[in-house]
Amino acid sequence: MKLVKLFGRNQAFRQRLEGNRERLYRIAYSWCHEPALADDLVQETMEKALKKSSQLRELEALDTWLFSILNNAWRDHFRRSRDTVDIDDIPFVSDSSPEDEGHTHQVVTEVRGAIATLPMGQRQVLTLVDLEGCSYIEVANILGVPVGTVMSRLCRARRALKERLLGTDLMRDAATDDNPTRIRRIK
Amino acid sequence: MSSDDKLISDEHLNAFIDNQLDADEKSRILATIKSDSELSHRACEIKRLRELVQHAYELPSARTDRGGHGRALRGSLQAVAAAALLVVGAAVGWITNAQLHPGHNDLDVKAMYLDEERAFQTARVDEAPTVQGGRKILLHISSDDPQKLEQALDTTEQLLQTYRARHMPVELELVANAGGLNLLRADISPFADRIEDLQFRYEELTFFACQTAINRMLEREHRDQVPPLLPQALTTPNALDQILTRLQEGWVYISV
Repeated sequence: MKLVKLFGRNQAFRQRLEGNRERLYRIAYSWCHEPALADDLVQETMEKALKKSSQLRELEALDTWLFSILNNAWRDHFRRSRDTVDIDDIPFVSDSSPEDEGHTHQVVTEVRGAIATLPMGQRQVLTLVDLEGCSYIEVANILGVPVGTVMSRLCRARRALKERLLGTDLMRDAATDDNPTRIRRIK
Repeated sequence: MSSDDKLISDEHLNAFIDNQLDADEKSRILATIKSDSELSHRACEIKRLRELVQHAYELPSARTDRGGHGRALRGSLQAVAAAALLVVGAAVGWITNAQLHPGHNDLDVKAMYLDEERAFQTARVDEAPTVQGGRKILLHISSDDPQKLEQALDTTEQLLQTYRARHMPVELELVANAGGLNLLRADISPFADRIEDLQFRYEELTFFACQTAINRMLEREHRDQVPPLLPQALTTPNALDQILTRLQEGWVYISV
């Protein structure tokens, strides 16, 4: 019976792991802005997750666990290239701009460009909260930092983004729309 | 910047927008936002930034996101919901007229939602936008007609079953007010067993009874004792507020 249960769990684990590939890629890409590197990081994360699957006690905790592994993979990669710098403190600018990667949409380009100038620690917190809907506590666990740090990084990240995007039309809605809800059609 | 505005730090306002505060704190900030346009503006800016980030990294295809599970009411949208209350009168009419159209297809159910420009739209539930790849549905029952009560449960089960089979994250709230309260009253609900069974099978389902409707009922019937609710039922201060807040959060709305 135990074997059957174990088999069932493994199946469920693999399915959910595969189902998370795109989400992992999105976060990895938002951190590094390099498609090939993001692919590598996701692959590394999936391999480590499979090897360590027995360490995951509850499937429900899979998301947080996977993002922790991704974070470790990303830090390892970063350490390999920059041994002496704390990645939380430095701005990261990708060699290839979003334009080079074929993203022509203005909003996407401008926002990604602004995010690319954030220090990595801030960028990680911002993307985990905004893209993944992680709670502050989950982010703290994933990145291994105190919740207070999550809050201050997020705050600084949004302030910086606001400053960078204020000159564009992108913040116009928030700046001018006093009553954003209106009814166009009532049935 | 007003004095209240200064009291609410950016960190705090971010936490409000990201729904990381407890209910008391949320209410306090929401009350301040309603009366302080500067703070409301700051809240809207944060919300706008979050939308921009999400837009900049949209997933390319149908996703298996958990759809932000574990988060209750999203504060960000409560800020905007404050503005939404301005259109409450019109929305009441709209909600009253919204109809559920069960059909032969799996999910031939009409739902309402707010589009990107925050205008109300109608579509089949499957065609309405998702929230981070997940489906969030608020089902509203206000009639005491036993057939309608049963229809509400049928639709609930059908939606949960279908999305589970598709491995799509789903969150469903069944909100009862007016006559619909009968569904959740332990003393008279004809479907207590079925509700228990549904709740047992689907943890992504939440039942809400409208506290305002309960208070009205007590007044109307000159009772001072609140009728017992089923153990699965939670209360929400006001069903309509809940509906508008959820719509602002990207949920779809179905009226039974």
